[in-house]
Amino acid sequence: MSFTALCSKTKINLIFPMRFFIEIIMKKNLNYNEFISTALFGALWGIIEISLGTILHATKIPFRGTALTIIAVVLITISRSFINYKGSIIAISSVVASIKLITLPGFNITPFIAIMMEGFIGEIIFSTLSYNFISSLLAGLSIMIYTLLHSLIMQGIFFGLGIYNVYLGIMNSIGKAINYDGEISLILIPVIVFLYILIGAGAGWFGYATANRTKEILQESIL
Amino acid sequence: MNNKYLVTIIFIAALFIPLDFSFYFFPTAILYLIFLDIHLFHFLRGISFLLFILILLIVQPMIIGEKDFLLMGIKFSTAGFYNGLLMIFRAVVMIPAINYLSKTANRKKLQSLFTKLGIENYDEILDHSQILFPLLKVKTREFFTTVERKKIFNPIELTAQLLAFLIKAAHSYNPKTKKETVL
Repeated sequence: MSFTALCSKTKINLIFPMRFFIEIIMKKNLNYNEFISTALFGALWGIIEISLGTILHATKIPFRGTALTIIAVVLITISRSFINYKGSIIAISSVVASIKLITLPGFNITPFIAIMMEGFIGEIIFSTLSYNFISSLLAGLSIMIYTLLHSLIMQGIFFGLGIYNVYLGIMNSIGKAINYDGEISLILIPVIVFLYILIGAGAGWFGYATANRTKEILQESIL
Repeated sequence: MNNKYLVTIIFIAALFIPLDFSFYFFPTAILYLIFLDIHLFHFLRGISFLLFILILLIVQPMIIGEKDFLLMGIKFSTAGFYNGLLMIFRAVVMIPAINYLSKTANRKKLQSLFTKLGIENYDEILDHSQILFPLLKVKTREFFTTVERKKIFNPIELTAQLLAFLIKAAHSYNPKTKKETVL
């Protein structure tokens, strides 16, 4: 029996670990509201990724990825409030990744990976802790930390691990230039990480507050 | 050999190549990639890459390594300069290689990956998202023309109003897909 046949017979394939994870967490048989809301938030995030992403890419301003991640955190947090079934964020992020894949002429693998990873991180946090204020903050800051690591990892892959020594060297020589005794990188790195945590938690809070207010508005309109 | 496989080998080799061989490997790999597709090197004109060149070839030799070279009164490290040069060579091979692999990736296959992963109603959700695109565009424009009159300055209130407006619109809009056929 060939390997492929064996794999299909035993329901094992090369994407088995991820499929296994999704099988465990993903809710089966979505109801109509869940279906529509998943499509809506997927479309919303997709539109923002395409329109704002293209504008930011064209303007070449720094921290483009960070700006898009802040919006992604807000949308992930809001979407989980409306579609609180397990696997919803993975479904949304896969829709966004596909929309980016279909609509943009040049396919770039790094944003594709980033969108999927953001979805996975959000899903793991909301599935483990359930949807509340704390989990929203935690999801926001974790996704932002991932964004910071993502760019550093990609730079490490492209330029080699030596790039980190260059960054440390630059930071420490700035410290020496301002007459700081010791290694200023030991202060600057935690400050940068803290800033990302703060921004991520802020985006999570914004998403949580917006979701609650949106629900109030929708209820007011029903009454 | 298929270009795709050769580029994959180049990418992996660039990732692990020892320092002693890199001076021979990188220029050869760059030449091959130039012949493959010159447009892969568009990133060289980008500000961010020029900034990396500046950091690695000028700033790095000034701050890292033993300063053994004097240029216009500034001390530089030749070891730091060579190190920076190698890092740039590496990036000039890795970035086009990954761009080429991304460009030649089968989009349909990548898309079908999500269905294979077992995401519930993935194809239907994606189809419906695309159906919602024009509606969201029109409704967002409509919302902002009405909001101009209301003058909402609180970002939470503004976003919440917009979302509530879009949610209501999305739930009442269902031109092609029928409830029964979707689920």
